[in-house]
Order: sequence, then C-alpha cells, then structure tokens
Amino acid sequence: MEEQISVFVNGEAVQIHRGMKVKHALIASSPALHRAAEEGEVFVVDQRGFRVGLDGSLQEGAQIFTRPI
Amino acid sequence: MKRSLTAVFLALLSLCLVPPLLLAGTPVELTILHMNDTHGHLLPFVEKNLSADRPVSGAAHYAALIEAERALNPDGTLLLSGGDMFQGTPISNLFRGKPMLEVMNRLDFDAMVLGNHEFDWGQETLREMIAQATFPFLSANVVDKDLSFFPDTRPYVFVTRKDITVGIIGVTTPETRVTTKPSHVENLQFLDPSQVLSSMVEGVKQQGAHLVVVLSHLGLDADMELAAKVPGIDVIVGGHSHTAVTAPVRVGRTLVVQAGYYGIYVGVLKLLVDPDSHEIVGSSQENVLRTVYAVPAAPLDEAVSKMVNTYNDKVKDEFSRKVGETLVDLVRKPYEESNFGNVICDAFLEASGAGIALQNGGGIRADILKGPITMEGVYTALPFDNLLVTMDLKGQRILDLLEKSAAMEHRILQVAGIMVVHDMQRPVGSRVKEVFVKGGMEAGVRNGGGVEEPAEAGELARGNSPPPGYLPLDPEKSYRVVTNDFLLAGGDGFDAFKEGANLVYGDTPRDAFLNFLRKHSPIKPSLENRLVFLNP
Repeated sequence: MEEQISVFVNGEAVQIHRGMKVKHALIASSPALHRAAEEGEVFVVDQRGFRVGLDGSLQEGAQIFTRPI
Repeated sequence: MKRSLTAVFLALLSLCLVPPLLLAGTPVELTILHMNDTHGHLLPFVEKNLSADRPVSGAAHYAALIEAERALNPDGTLLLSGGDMFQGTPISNLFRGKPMLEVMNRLDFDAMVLGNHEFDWGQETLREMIAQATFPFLSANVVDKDLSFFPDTRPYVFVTRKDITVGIIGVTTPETRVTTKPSHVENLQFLDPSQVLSSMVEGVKQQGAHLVVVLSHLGLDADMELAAKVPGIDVIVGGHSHTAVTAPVRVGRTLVVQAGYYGIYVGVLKLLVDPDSHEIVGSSQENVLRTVYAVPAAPLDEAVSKMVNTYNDKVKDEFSRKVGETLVDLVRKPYEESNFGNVICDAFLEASGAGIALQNGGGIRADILKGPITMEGVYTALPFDNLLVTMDLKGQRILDLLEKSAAMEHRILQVAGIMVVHDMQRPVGSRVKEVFVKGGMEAGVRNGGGVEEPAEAGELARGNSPPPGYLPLDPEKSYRVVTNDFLLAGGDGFDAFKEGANLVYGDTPRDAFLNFLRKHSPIKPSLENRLVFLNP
C-alpha cells in the first residue's frame, strides 16, 4: 500500500497520506478552504454531487468539490 | 334453475381461480433501513453546512424515524449498520460506546459491519462490545494469522423477511491496518475484500440466500469498484466515506447506498422482489435518505431520549472527575516556549516512543490553573479529535518546519526532544540559528519523563558545543517525529510534514496527555530553554 495518495480538490491534485480524510485534503489544498468548510460557509460534494462529511475517508483518485452555502 | 346453478358454480369457480392468478408473482416489498458512521452522535447538534438553525441527529430522533419506517413494513424490514458507530463524542467515548450499543440493541439492528474505528479502543473492548450486542458483528476479511475470523464476529448472516432470505456479508476497509494504533490491530490481517467476496457471494447463495447484501465499510468509490468486480451482489450498504447517497447508484445489477454520517440521515431503500425468481424487479430510485431533524415538532422516542439523558448527566459527573494535578499554572504562550506546550509534547513522546515532538500552539485551546486537573479541563484544553502520528522525517524538513514556526504567521510550534536557538533579527526563512537534538533521540528512544536540567540560554546563544546530552541536528539524518494529523496534512502551512514516511497512527493528543497525568501527577512543568529567541 503506497503511503501517499493523490486526490482532487476542486479539480486540483493534492497529495495526502493514505487514511486521511476530506478535511485533510482541504487543509492540504488551502487553509482558507478548510476554515470555510469548518465554519459551514461551504459544503463538500463528491464527483456525483453527493454531500460528504469532513471526516469522510478518501481513496486514491477521489474527487471532491466545495460549494458555497 | 339448472342455468342459475351453473352460473353460480361458474362464478364461485372464477373467485377461486382469479385471486391466485392475480397473486402469482406479486412482488414482495422489502425495506432496508441503514445507518453508518454515527461516531457516537447520540445528541442533536447543528451541522453548519446543512442548516444553521435546525439541529439534526440525536438518538431519540433517529430511533423514532426508524420505528416509523419499520411500521410501514413491519414484516419486511431489515435494519443494518455500515460501521463506525461508537467512537467520536464525549458521551460515547467516556463510556466506551455503551450508550450507542444500548440504542442499537433497543432498535433491533439485524447486523453491523466492523468499521476501522471499532478498533480504536483495542480488541478487548471491541470483544466486550460484541458480547453485549443483540445483533451480529460481521466481517469476512478481518482474520487472524491463522485465517480465523475476528473472535465473536461472523463473515455473514442470513435474515429472512416475507420468505425472502437475505445473505448479508460484511467487509472492512484494509486501511484499518495503517490508520489504527498498531497494538490495537496486533495479529490481525485485513484481506482484500474483492478476493474474499468472489467466493463468498456464491457460497451464501448455495446456502439458500435469495438476495445478497454486502454490508461494507470501504467507502463509496471502493463500493462501486467492488460492484463492478464481484458479480452476484444485489445491494451494497456502505459506510466509511461519509457520503449522503440521495439516489442509489447502480453498477450493473448492483445497487449501492450509504447514509451519510453522524446520525444526520437514515437510509431507506425499498426493494420489490419477485417471490418466485427472487429477482429484484423494482427499487427506490430517489429519496432514499431521511434527514433526522431534531426540532420540537419532530417525533421523538421517549424511552431512548430518557436513556441518552441519563448518560448525558453522567458525562457531567465524568467531566468533573479529577484526572491529575499540577503544582504550577499550565500556561500557553503564542509566540514563546510555554510550560503547557512542554508537558504536552513530553506526553506525545511518551505515548509514541518518538524522539522529537512538535505541536501547533493553536491546538492547545485553554490554560489549566494550578491544582486539581479535571477531565473537563483536559477536554477544554485539547478539544480536537486529532490523532498523533509518528513518522520518519529528515533533519532538513525539521529545519524547514522550525523556520516556518519562526515566521510567526501562526502560534509557534511547541517542542520536545530538541532545543532551538533563533535570531529574530534575521529575515524570515533564516531565523533558526541552531538546533540540538537530545542525544540518542534520533532512534526514538526516550529515557523516562520528568524535568531535566535546562541548558543555559547563554551557552546556546554563543553557538558553542551542544548542551550536555544533545547533538546538533543533522539535516541529512532521519529522525522519528510525532505530531498530530492536522499538521501532518500541512495545517497552518507546515507543508514539510507531508514528507513524513513510515507513518504510525496513535492516540489522540488528549488521551496521550491523560495517560501522562496518570503516570506523573502531580506535574510541575517549567520553561527549559527549548525555544530561545535572541534579538526579539
């Protein structure tokens, strides 16, 4: 199992460690985005448009997108 | 007369024949209710990104919703859990999952799959929980070194509703091995779910299952891959990715569902099953999630509410319990070494066996005054449910982190196992003058706790030989470093943590500090010149 995986936040690739969650991907992408998500200013969806929680797991190649409330 | 009798006879005959003809093949309705990843959310809360003014979740509310749905199809309903039900909130953590288990027993769950967080309190606690459950815990891919299933779990179970037998197979994410404290998954193997399922799906069918449901704690993306790979699965009820699947995802003949997280939703999947062929001839196309609003008008299960409130009252007792003592005020300082930062980092070293600890100052949220330390005090100071992560990190990366800290864009890093001399007259990026590592610490071996004689700041400033017991940091050498997963992800801009390798996850910072208090109280942490700022 590789230690690092690539996931996509709003279309941009970020590297996180395997086992990390949506919130970690947001932290890695942009502290401001992470803060906005924690404060409820944005919500997160996957590539199918389903909402995902900040503590949701991610696997290699996962795609998440932030949407304003 | 004869014609009348014939007519009556024919009419009676038609009444006997028509109903069976109409009934033959009438689909049977089954309802699969499901929850996943509640993470101990027994009390309502506000999910800011969903609704700022309508609380959601709460066991009393989702219990009422489940009962209402069950009442619509009492003989045809199954209730399943996609795992990760217990760990996550004080009311659940303090009682090791007992309140949530009581709710689940009360609601007559039919089965639950092991999630990765079911191992958070160790295998013994998990086995105790399984023993007290009135429903089976499933996992077909968690085995010991002899390939026996985890004690007291089963790979699958059969549930029959309206003469339809459903084989329910559980699969757990193999990432459990790497994301859980090693001692909690000792001697366990997490096999590839698709390889395990390939034969097991056929196996349960041969044993009489008309339908196959995989109860999965893999995440939605992995569930969809599984559905594409393994034939014969009718439904995958999922968890782990905290996805609110509002309309079932179809992959071939398999329907995939998941009910979000934290008890905000209950999944309701209706299936129409041909009683002869046992094929699914119809299913819910949309609206498969019920949002659990906790507003005054929402239905409430009074008995569950009473039970949860009893535990909530006990939380208050637990919070006021003394967990240690400090002989001095434990004080945070945003831009200097702090004694509270020092003792927390010492606790991290002890918990992890690492040689160097780094903690963001912003993660310590309150001071603790001299005297008894209560559980509430610890929760207030360390409220976040981060995890400690230990890693190999090159000396140069540690230097990068210390430079980032010295830029003072955020509260600085608190440290243990190192001493750092800064020259604040230098430009950002060049402020770290010297770094010394406690001798023997590069291998991550720590010799006991307690206060050691601090090196003299003047000695450090003169750039003389390292203080006794310390060696200069070698940029090319690899050190064993412990931090939290917020920093690991690059939080507060500390990107160099992302290059950590050979990761081992551990306790929460809070649990590490509690364990430290148990061993070392009363504590008396002081300033030790771990962080020296020249020319401030």
